[in-house]
Amino acid sequence: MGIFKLGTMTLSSMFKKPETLLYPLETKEPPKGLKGSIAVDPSTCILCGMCMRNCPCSAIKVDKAARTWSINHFMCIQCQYCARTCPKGSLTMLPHYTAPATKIEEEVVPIPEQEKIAPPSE
Amino acid sequence: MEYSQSFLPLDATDILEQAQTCKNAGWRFVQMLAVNTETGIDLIYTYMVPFDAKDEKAELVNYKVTGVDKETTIPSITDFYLEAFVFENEIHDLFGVKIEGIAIDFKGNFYSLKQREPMTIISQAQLEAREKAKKIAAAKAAKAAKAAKEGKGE
Amino acid sequence: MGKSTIIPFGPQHPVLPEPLHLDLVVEDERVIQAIPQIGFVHRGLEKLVETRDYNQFVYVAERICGICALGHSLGYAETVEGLMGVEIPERAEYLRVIWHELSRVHSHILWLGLAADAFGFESLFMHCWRLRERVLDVFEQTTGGRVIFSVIKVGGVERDITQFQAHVILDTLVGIKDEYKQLCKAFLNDTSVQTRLVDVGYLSYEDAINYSVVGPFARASNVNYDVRMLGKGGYKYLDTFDPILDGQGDCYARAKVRALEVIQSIEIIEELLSKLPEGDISVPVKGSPADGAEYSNILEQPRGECYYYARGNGTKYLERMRMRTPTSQNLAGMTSALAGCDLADVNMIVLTIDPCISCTER
Repeated sequence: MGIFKLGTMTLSSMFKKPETLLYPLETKEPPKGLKGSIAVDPSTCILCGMCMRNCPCSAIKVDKAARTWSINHFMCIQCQYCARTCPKGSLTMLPHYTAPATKIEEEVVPIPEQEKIAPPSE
Repeated sequence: MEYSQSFLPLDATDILEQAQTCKNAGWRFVQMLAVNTETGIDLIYTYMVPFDAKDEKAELVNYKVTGVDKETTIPSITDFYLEAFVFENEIHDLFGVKIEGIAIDFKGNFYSLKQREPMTIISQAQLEAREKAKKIAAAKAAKAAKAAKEGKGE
Repeated sequence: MGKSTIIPFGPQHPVLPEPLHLDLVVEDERVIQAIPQIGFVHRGLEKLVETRDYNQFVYVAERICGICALGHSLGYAETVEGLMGVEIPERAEYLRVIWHELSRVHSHILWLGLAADAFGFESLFMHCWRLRERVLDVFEQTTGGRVIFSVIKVGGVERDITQFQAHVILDTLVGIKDEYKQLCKAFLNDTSVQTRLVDVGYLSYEDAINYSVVGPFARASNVNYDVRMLGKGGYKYLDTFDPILDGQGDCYARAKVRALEVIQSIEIIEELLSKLPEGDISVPVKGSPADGAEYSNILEQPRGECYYYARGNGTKYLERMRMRTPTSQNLAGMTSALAGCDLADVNMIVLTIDPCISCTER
């Protein structure tokens, strides 16, 4: 038949659910392994600076004297290389769709002093 | 099917002859590239031996020309393989190698770069890393030589 | 016999998909000669290998192009593994090929939508990109990203897929296959499409061999060459592989070859998922490439054969990394196919070659 080649597809789509969502009234549930943004756990970070040396775009800055860890989310390319090479596993990737922002600023996280755990005495 | 690759040396004066032999034998031209080393620029021409689906093996042959500097003029192989004009113009723009007789010659305006011959400029960080690697390799060689001498002396 | 004018077909054009400049020498609506020029997207990525070590460079390599992103990171990782003599586990090889074939499916469906849009057939363009969204959803669930995945590393892959995710992939592919076959029939059996594509931009078999063209561009002119039949990497686990050939050599043949390759890729994925083995997904890689070691590698990307070359110098930075992409090889064949066509056919010929200029210039 030479006409109505896409007819089946067009007619059946009148009775099926639409493929798109009514955004922003409905939002999509982010899947579990989604690449969102990097977050640090202050209780396990030892300020070794491995993440700063390994980042391909120099988005992370670690200041050992001032005890801060900061990241510029707009320079980060979400490659997760820092999270994979952290020796203590303090960096995680939060799965969320990033919202637009009006200013570019770095996120600075202060790392508190760790309590020294005394070795068990014999 | 088995796949293998090989690296063979080539002289700068034999480039045209090699291209003609390959063209007559029906070899396929794959690519041409340049590497910037301390002793001049290396050029690598790659050809692929023609094969059929019923053959047992396929081979990729890389010919390496070493020690090309700013004064050497390289003949162009676009008489035999026209598609090489893209690579020859690119190597002229990025590395500063003089190639004569290209079929479609852009005379340095292929990429229109602000910085001429950027691939031949080595950054400061790279120079320092190479010095450090040389020192480590020299120390390792000295230690190995000392251990071998002590082992022989025993 | 009229006099010839030169019309610039510039990098900015509503119907041109990539920033390519063509100087068309035209005589009375017939193109005599076409001279290409590129250089609008040159970013100097091959020089970055001097300041990013061989583990970090994977993330640079996959950002060379948006459509063939996984192909470049896969080729780079295979080259460095060959340079350092690393063997990766079997499960990692299977996963890499599954993601690479999904990438090929998504690239060809995207191309079909663009070709239909260049005709003015916008409803087919919307349907194709709606099907492509389902493939991108699969990527998002298994790798975390829609276009750039960051899932391949030197030594294996980073993430694993669960049984549930494998079922999701199979269900999505089955759902795409039926609708895709209807779209193909609607596009390839249409008389106005055939009037515009048949006998346009003809490249003979001898010319295809002389200009060494690669990819679906060559297979539509009956050149029997596809890197996947060499059996490298995960492709050696397939039972059989025959490249899809067509002898006509015109634009219609190229469109048909790409349309049929999608069905072939879906069958490859289904076969590999049915025999996925258990095991590790990566091995640890220590040390750096040896001084003076060199290695070359070839890979079949959606657009053709891609060549990689790596040389080490003893430090953790590579001395040289070179990627030769299929479009730079096809430029000479494209100028030959453009000679002698009508001015109104230029954009269709350029589109059926499927250029990817950001890969060509890096």
